[in-house]
This record gives sequence, structure tokens and C-alpha cells, in this order.
Amino acid sequence: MSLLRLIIASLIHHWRTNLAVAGGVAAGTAVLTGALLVGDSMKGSLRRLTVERLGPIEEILLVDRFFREDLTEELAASQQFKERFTAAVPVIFLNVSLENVEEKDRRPTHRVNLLGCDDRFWKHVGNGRVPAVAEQYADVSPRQRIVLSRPLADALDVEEGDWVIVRMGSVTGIPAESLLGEDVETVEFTRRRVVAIISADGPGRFSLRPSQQLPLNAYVPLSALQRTLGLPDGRVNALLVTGRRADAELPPEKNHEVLQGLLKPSLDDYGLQAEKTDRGPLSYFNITSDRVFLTNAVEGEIARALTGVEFQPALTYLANKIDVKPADPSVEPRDERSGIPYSTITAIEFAQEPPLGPFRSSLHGAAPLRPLGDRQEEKENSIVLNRWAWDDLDKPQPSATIYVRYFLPESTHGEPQEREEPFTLADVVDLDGAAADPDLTPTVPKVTDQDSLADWQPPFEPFYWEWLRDDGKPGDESHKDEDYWTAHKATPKAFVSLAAGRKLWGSRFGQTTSIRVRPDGMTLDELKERLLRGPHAIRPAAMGFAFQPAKRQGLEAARGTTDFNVLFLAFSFFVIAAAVMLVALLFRLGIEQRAGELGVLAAVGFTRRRIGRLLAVEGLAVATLGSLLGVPAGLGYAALMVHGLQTWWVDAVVTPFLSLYVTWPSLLVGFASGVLVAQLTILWTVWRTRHVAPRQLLAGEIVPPSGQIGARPRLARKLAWGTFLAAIVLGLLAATVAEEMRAVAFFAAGAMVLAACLTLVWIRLKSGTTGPAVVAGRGNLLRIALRNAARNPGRSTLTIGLVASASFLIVAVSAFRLDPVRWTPKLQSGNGGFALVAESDQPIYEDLNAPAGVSLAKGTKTIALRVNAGDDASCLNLYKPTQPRILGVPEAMIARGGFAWAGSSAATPEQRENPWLLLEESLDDEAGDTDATPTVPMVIEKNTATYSLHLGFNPLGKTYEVTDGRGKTLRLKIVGLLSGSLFQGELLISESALLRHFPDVSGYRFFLTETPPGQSDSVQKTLEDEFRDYGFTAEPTGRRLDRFLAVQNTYLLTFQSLGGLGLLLGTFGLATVQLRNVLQRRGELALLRAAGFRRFTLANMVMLENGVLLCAGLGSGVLAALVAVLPHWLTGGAAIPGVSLAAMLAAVLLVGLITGLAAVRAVLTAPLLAALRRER
Amino acid sequence: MTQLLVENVSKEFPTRGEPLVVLRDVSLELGQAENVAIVGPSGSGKSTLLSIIGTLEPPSEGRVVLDGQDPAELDEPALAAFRNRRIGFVFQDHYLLPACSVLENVLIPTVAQGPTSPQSVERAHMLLDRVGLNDRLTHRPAELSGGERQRVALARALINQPLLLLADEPTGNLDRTTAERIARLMLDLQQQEQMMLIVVTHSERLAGLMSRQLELEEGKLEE
Repeated sequence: MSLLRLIIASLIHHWRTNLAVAGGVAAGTAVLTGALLVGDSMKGSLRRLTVERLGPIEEILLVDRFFREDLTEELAASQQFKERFTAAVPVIFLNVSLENVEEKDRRPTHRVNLLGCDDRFWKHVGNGRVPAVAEQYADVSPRQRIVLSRPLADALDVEEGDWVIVRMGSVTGIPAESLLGEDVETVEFTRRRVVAIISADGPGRFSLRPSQQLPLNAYVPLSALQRTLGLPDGRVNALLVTGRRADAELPPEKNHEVLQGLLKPSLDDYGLQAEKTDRGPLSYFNITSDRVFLTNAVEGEIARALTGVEFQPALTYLANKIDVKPADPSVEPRDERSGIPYSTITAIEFAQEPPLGPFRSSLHGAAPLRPLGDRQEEKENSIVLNRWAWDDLDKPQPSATIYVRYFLPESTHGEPQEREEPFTLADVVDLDGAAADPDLTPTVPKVTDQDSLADWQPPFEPFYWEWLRDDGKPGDESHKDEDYWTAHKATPKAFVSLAAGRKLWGSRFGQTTSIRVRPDGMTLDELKERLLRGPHAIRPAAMGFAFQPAKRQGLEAARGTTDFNVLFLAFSFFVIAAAVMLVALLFRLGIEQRAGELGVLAAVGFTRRRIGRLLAVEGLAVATLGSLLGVPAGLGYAALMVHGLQTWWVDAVVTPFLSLYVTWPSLLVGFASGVLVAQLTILWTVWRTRHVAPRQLLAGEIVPPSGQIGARPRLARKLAWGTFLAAIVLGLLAATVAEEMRAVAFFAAGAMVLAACLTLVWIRLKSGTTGPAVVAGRGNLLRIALRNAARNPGRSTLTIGLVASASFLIVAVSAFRLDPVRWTPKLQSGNGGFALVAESDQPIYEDLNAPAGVSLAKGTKTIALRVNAGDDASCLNLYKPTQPRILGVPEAMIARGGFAWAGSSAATPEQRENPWLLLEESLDDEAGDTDATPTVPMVIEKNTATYSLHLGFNPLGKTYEVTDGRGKTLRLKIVGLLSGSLFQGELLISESALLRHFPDVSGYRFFLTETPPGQSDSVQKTLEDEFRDYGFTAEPTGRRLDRFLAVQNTYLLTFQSLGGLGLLLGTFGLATVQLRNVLQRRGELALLRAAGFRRFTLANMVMLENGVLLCAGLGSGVLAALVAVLPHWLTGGAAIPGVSLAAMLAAVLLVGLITGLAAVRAVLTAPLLAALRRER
Repeated sequence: MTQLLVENVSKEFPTRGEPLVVLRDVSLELGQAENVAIVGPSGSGKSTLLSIIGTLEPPSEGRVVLDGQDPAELDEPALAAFRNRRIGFVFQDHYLLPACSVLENVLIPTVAQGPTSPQSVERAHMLLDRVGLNDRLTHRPAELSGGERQRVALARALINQPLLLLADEPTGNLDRTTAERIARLMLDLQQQEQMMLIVVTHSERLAGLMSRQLELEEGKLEE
């Protein structure tokens, strides 16, 4: 007989017990494996969605301007491209709103992706799946056609043949908020007929942004959209590059670099013009932009490309009026009509050499003008008038004050703001040579290209036509301005220093209108070559022409924001704990049943170590068997969880998209973890029996019987009551803290009550003060059951504690189930005191506080925020954000304050009172220590920082890097953490910082509205009607918070459900404890039967004992949980799912009692005589 | 007058081979206040006979009549009630409930068939007084000596004033002096309560204290 044979024989002989232990191990392994597989499924499903969303697309070029479609052909013609990619597909990509023509009352459907595409898209991206157009719609004109994805058609409630209205932002080169962009129609409409509806897969799933939610897509013919948008033929704003060739040897990163290197946009693509002015010997090269201003980034790139070439920047701006202030104060001020109206002023450093200079003085014998002023102050205050203007102003003396009235370069809410600036007349320049240069003024369509002032179509209002002197006939005083225009067009009438001009008229749109280049023998083609192909050529990426490795980024993002295997391991905590407990209890039960056998082994000379090894090897075999059974069960568990996430808990993932994915590593890790956990549990159980003497084992005892009454632990009792009192105090204090912290405080109070309850229970059991077991009268069976429950205070308290803790947690987490819909707007809360939150598809420039022709309820106040579009980083998006959306917080909002805070870096009392002020701090000095990356203060919702951006549990002070509007790295430093805020998923920086780093951001697209009580519905309707064309959608702040919290609440529900499952499994443990008790007491029970107790009566008694423990656990757990939940619920903060919780607890009680029947069965079937004779 | 009649009782147990016959045609009569000791070697069937008399298991053949009632004719509830009222047991192991006090242990049989009456409580006090434990009423079994525990078990056996007291090696776990003391106490109480007493024992000393001694050998009972 070898040890191995002994083990095998023992395994076979005790097969029932071993099978039960293996069952416990299987349960634990199943949960561990299942949790890992849920994580696999999440990642696998997100990856699948990414592949579906992008199809064969590898790289995407999306530019904020329209470029030549030919760029696609130029790119694809390259051999290197052909070696690595299959096709380049030009498209127009726009965000639009759609409306069902037949249902005007229906809200428009916003956030629709409109694709202007042609056969190339369907062939290469759609894998040849061209939408099938029904015969009856085959003759619908391409300009009227539209194809919808099924989700969009459903949202609009349209079918093939129906008509829809498409609202889209106008495309313009000139920024709408710049002075010259004012007349731009911001929204255009087209009416289109639905000719086909495609399913939400393949090209119907196409989207630029990673999200598990189905995109709303519409498709129109590319050429038709180009005509609708009034674009020159063959202009697009996006380019999709498909399918890396299978034989490509280079890694995707290298392919991306090669592709970017192959991209060679023209100056036209950049919106730049390089022309040679037609000025004879004074001709020079003039570089201008179709957006009038050259942005700083563009100017920087041009300057870089022109290294070694002489050039000068100039800024020409429009003066509404140039006038002189009378030197004699007694003279009446000149009237409104005096002065020179609507003239251009150029800010420039006077060059001395042709062709850029010289500028000759009229007052000093045609001497070349020197750059204005040597001192900064003088430089900024001096003005030079041309001779015509000087004459027109009646030849003011040098040093006279010349006033210039102008509009600020950037409007506020669509309204131009006029300013007046005084200058000192420094000189007068002859209107010839370098000064007589109309090319100093950039082309402004419909103005500078007009022959007569009367033909102007000024892009801004107000414009006072009456100021213009264009009446009469040429040569008349009343025709002066027209004469000047005829002779000199937009030639500047005044000059200021470049510094002065930039100070007044520079903006985020740029501070230069032209770059004047001295030819020095260079031809125009050579200049263009230098700019585009020279050693310092303009870099496409710096001009916004940067390919995004969409597939690679998408797959990276598919790793997700939340580690679902960890999440589900946490959710399954109770199930795992219950399984571990079950394994321990069952294995111990097995040892107890074999106590005599082990005693014999000890008696015949087996050492404790050898007996322990014997049990451990047996345990390992059982654990391995259990884990082998558990792995396939884990597949079932994972399938159940995935099914749950598709149905009951779908709010946790927003939309049902999950499929079950199984990977070998997870199965192996699950198996190994199951074996390890079970084996450790078994070893611990074996270790606990190390001090049992052989004689005791031979007597069949693992633990000596306990019957002595212990002393009442006074200290513990005091501690328990102290904890109880502290819980009451904490509960009272909780009412005074912030809403979001209140739940935590109540939860803590509840936990303290639970601890106090359990301590008191333990004291009572320990001291044996459970009341008399037998008294005259009825109810003695229950009393005996109660007394029996107190036989082993430690074991009973542990059992009660386990059930109590589980039921407490399950019920008390309800305190965290928040119902923000019930919250009224409050300044220091998650809604910040705002009743409504709104977003628009198209930027809105108008002030929502005073929309034209609309009357809003008194007291309504809206704060508008600018938006730099980006990934959704809220919990509604499971993909890891690459570049989250950034909001610009305006000064009005910063001054107003509000919202609930989880922390801030506030250093002053003012900042502590209003942490928004921290956004105005300058942090650039801090960044300068290490590198040149600018740093901007940021406020963010805490959960977004922790879970979405993975900045840790204390993200305050940490930084997060994004790419700014120029493609450079911008560092955002967290200075404030919002708590439970409607700003979840947003990065919040000051509006000024946003405009500084994202100068292309236009208008406002995020709105927060305060309304008088009870007026929010009417205000919402008014605003939605008024701004319908902009894709404006408002909703109560509570509903938005509810959407965010739906995810959290569903997680809690999942936790509660799995906790309930764990508790159910725990009841099996309880039954095992009961069975152990029964087996230990079978002699007593047999005696009771001998003394006349019926089997049924004894079974009742055992059931009661089980029930007492179960009810004590559930009761104290629920009591403590109520302490945690009730106050919060009564104050309206918590949303308790009463019915489902009650059902769950009832199920636990029922299943607990049913599983207790195992013990009862043991009683009913126990052989009486064998027990009385202590036979085993 | 005969109160216990054991008539032609046989008992056999099934085994893999031939059935194991433990008792063969055993008969016994006992009148009020009579006592008897049954002795015999291990495995002779003493405890089996005691169990059959105590209605803890049925005979294979024959019958037992106690107080005019054949318990084999009763269903399980009635049998339990019958045993509760008519029979008291004392075993080698005391089987006291460790969680209950001395008094409560004595009262336990009264719980079996319904509410405990005040008279039962009074009787429990009286019995404990008689066994000399009236000062240990609230003590737990773990706080008692072996002899004291067996005295509690004796009081418990008598709480319902049984007609028949069955004792299976009642002094087997005790030292000689304590065993003697318990045996005499048991006999005193048997006389006071006027009940029948059957003691199964290996102890010749204990058997010698009984008015009759019967020997069970190879399943047969002989005077």
C-alpha cells in the first residue's frame, strides 16, 4: 500500500464529499473564468465594432477646409502608395440635422453624419455594396437623392420614397466670427428624397468617432453635394485610405509615416495664393490667404519655408472712419458724416529698398520714411496718412490726434463691436511708389473686387452707406470716395506700425494679411517650389493635413475605458467569496467525517505533516477536478453575464452590441486561479486542524465541544454602543454635506450600525444570554433552536455576519443609486443650478439671452460654451478616448461659480469658494521648466479623470496631453474635480485658453440655461424652435445626469444581482455549517428521538436553527442598510429598487431555508442506534 | 401484574451473505417496580434487545407489549409520544445538550410532545434535588463532572414519569466509586417511582445490585 494508493482509495471512498468540494471549486472557477471572459467579450466586441465601423479604412484625412479632389489621384499614383494601400477615396464629411418633411412637429434628428461620396466609396469602403435603388426612384435626380442608414431612417420614421430636409452648416473659408465672415449664412437647407435605406452594418456603420452606439448616417452623391455647397468642382474635405496590402512588409506605424510623407497638397489646397504684383519695378510676390488672415501657424510655416529670403508681413484692416480731432477744444466736434469713411489701414514696417519700399514723405521732401518710432509707445501711437487722406482731413498738423474707428476683429455673439483708437500724426506719405499699392489690401470677395463703391456687399453690419461720398460726378467733393476707389481701389489711406496694427486687429484668426516677398531674381514658380518642396517646405501636418491612423487608433481605443474583467471580478466578489467559503466548509466537513480515520493514521504513526500532505494531495486532486468542471461552467457564466449586458443591464453599455468571445489565456488563467484559490483554501482548512490530538480525532472530533458560558466582554460591548452612537451622529451630520457625499456618509453610518449589531450579537451569543431554552409553556422548540445557534458563537456570528454583510451591501448600495431627475436646480450640485443643457450641431453665434424676436421667461439666463469637437469620454462611450471633447468656460460662468466639487487646487479663499477661478491661472511658467509644451489649467469630472482617462484615484494636479488646433501637444493640468456633474466626459478649460490653442473653434455649441421655477419646459420649447436650424437640442439637466447615472446605477444593479447570487451560494455554505452541526450532534439528536421527539419535530428544530441564523443575518444587514439608505431616500437623493430588492432578499431567505433541508434530511435519515452507539 | 411483555423476539440484520441473527426467540416479562440486569459478552445482542424493548427499532419477529400496548402497531408520531411518556433512557454517553443548562436538559423531553407544563418544571426541580444537583440548576454540562452529567441524564430520563427505565451501560464511562453511587441512585429512584428498570451492562457489580440477572448468549436469553 503506497501513499498514492491510499490517496486514490480515499478519494474514491469519500467520493460524495469530494464531489461536493469539487462543486464548490467549480463554482468559484466558473465565476473567475466567466469574469475574464466578460472582459474578453467586451474587448473583442469593441474590436469587432471598430472593424465594422471602418471597414477596410486604415487612415483618414479630415481637414477643416475643402481641398482638391485631385489630391486623391496624386496620392494614389505614387508607387509607394500602391505598395502599401489599395485605394484613396475622397469624400465630404459633414455633421448635419435631418427632418422628416411630413412630420414637422417631430423634433429633427441631430448629429447625423452626412457623407458626400461616389462609387469609389461604395467600391472600396463598402466592399462593392452599392445601395440598391428601387426602380421607381431610379430617375430621381442626383441632387435630390439621399441614402439613409436604417437607424437614421427609424429615428426619422421615414421609408424609401419619403422626403427629408437636410440642415447643414455653410462652408466658408472666412471664419464666421471674424469681422469679414459676418454675412455668412451659417445654415443651409436642402430637400432630398430617400432612394435607399441600407442596413447598419458595413458602410452603414461607418463613423469617424469610436463609439459602441450605432451612428446615424446619410449619404448623398459627392458631385451633387459639391454643387449644393457651392464648392468649386472637385473639392472635398476628407480622404479615406483603404486596405493595407497583405504583403506590406512595414509595420502600420511606418505605413502611416510613409502615407503622410506622400501627401503633397498645393498652395490652393492650403487656401493660399502666391502672386506676383503687377507693379513694374516695384513688383513683388504677395502671399495671401482665402481666409483673409494668415493664421499664426500658417504664417509660421511660410516664414520657415522662406528662410534666407527677404520678406515682410503686413496687416491691412478696415477703418470705419479716420478723422482728426480739432486742436482747439473750443471748436465744435465734427459731425458723424465728417472724416474719411470705410478706408483701409496697413500695419507695416516701412521698407527702404524697392520693391517693398521706400515710402516717401510728403512733408519732408520725399525723404524715405523710417520705421515708425523707436520707442514702443511712440511706435504704437503713430500714424502716417497718405497725401489724399491728409488733404481730405484739411491737412492736420503733425502731432495732431487722428482717430481711427474700427470694428473689433472678432464679434461677440454675432455683433461687431466698434472701438475708437487715437493716434498721433507722425508724417504724410506720397500716394505713389510703394504707398500706392492696392495689393497691400487682401482680396475680400464682393468688396475689393468691385468696380464701384455702390457695388460693395459689405460682410458686416451696421454699414452706413450715407457716409460714403459717392454722389454727384467725378471730381466733386461729394464724389471723393468713389473717385479714390476708381483711381486707387483699396489702397491704404493710412499706415501704422506692425506692432500697433497687430495689437488692435490681431486675433486668433491671425495677425497678418499678406506676406510680401522680395523676388531677388526668383520666379513665381521657384517661390512656389520653395514653399512646397524646398528644404524648409510647408509641412502638411502643421497646416491641418494630417492623416489619422484611424484603424490603429480605433483598435487601440477598443481596449476600452473600463477593464470589464476586473469590474466583473469585483461584481462577482460575493459569488467568489461564497464559493471559497463553501470549499472551506465542505472540505472541513469531509475532514470531520473522517476524523476517526485520521485519528487512526495518527495513532499508527503518521506524522501530522504526512497526514497534512495526504489531505493536501487529495485536495489538489479535488481542486483540479473542480476547476476542470468550472471552466466550461465559466463559459456559461460569461454567456449569462453577456446576455445580462445585452438585456437587463444594457444601460451599463448603452446599447446591445456584445458577443461572447473566448480566449485560451482566459480559460487557462481561470483554471489555474480556480486550482490555486481552492488549494489555498484547502491548505488553510488542513492547517487549522494541526493542533487536534490523535485521541480527539479518534473520538471523532475536530473541534472540542464548547458549552461553557463566557464572560460578557465589557469592552466590546462599550465599543459596540459607542459605534452605534457614532453612527447616529454621522447620520445626522450627513444631512449637512453635499448631495454626492451624502450617500457615502449614510453608507458609512450604515456600516457602523452593522458592525455594532454584529458585535452585540456576538456578545449575546458568547455570553449565552439568549434567554431560557425551556420554560413552562409554548415556544420551547424555537428557544432551543436559538440556544443551539449560540453553541458556537464564533461560527454563528461568522455565518450571521456573512449573510448580514452581503445583504447590507446589496441593499445599501441603493444609496448610491441616484435619481437626478428628482433633483431641483441647485448651484452647488451636479446640475450647477441649471435647469436645461443644450447642444447644437452647428455653431451658434447669436446671444441666447436675447435672441432676436423671441421672448423668454423673465429670469432665464443662458451661458454658452465653445466646443472643440472630440471623442466622448463619458461613461456612455466604452472606447478609450483619443482626444476628448474640450469645452471653453466663459468668464461669465467662471464668475458665476457653482457645481459640486470633489476637490480642487484652490489656494485662496476666493478660489476655495469658487474653484472655477483656477481656470484663469497661468501655468505656462510651470511647464517652462522642462519643455516648451504649454500647460493650461483644466477642470474635469472626477470619474472621467479616474476611469475614462485613467489618471488614478487622485487625479488632482495630474496632467493630460491633447493635440491643439495646430497639431502641437497641449498639456492640461487638473486644478479642479467636479463631482457627479453634467460635465461628465468633458475637459473644461477657460474660453480664452480654448481660443488661444484652438483658434479655429467657431461659435458656441454647448449651452446651460437657468430658468425660473416651472418654466423650463416652455423655455426649452422656445429655444428649440428658435434654433431648430442649428440642430439645437435641449433637455433637462436631470435627464442628462440620469443618462450618465444610468450606467452607474446599472453597475450597482449588476453588483446587487451578482451579490444576490453570491448570497444564494452562501446559503449553501450556511447549509453546510448546519449539516456539520447536525453531524456533530447526531448523538444528542438520537437521544432526543429516544426521549420521544418525532423526527419531524427535530427537523423543525434544525430548520429553526438555520432560519434563526439566516434571519439574524438578513435582519441585521437590512436594518443597517436602511440606516444607510432611508434618510437619503427620504431626501430624494436615492432611488431604491424596493420590489426587486425585496424579491431578492426573499429569494435568499427561501433558498437558504431550502438548502437547510440538507441538514434536515440528515436528521430525518440518521440511524438512531448507530448514533447512540457513536458508530460512524 | 405483567407490565412489560417481550414475546419470542428475534432480530436479524441483512449482510452480503447470510443474514446475521442477533436475537433468537427472546422472551421476557416484567412487572411494576421490577428491575433486571442483562449481561453477556460483547456482540451478544444486549443493546439490540434494549433498543427493541425501547421501541427504537422493531424486532424481526415476535412482539413487545408495554402497558398493554404493542408499539409496533403505532405510527411514527404515536410511537414517539408513546416512548416519550412510557420509557426513559440512560446511555453510556450522557448526550446532554451542551448549550442548555442542567434544568433545561432535564426538561428537554417535555418539549417533545407540546408545551412544557409548570408541573414538569416543578418535577424537574424535584428530580434534580433527588439526584443532588439542586444547586447546579443553571450550570452547563461542560461545567459538570462525569458522574454529575450522568445524574442529569438520569433525571432527564425520569422527567415524564416513565413506566420503564432502560439503561445501556450507564456506568461504563465512570470510575468505580462514581459508578456505584450512580447505580444506587438509579435503584433508589426506580423504587421511589415504582417503575421497571432494565440495565444492560458488562459490570457484574452493577448487575449484582439488580433483583434479577439475565444472560444473553448467542442471541438467547437465559436466567
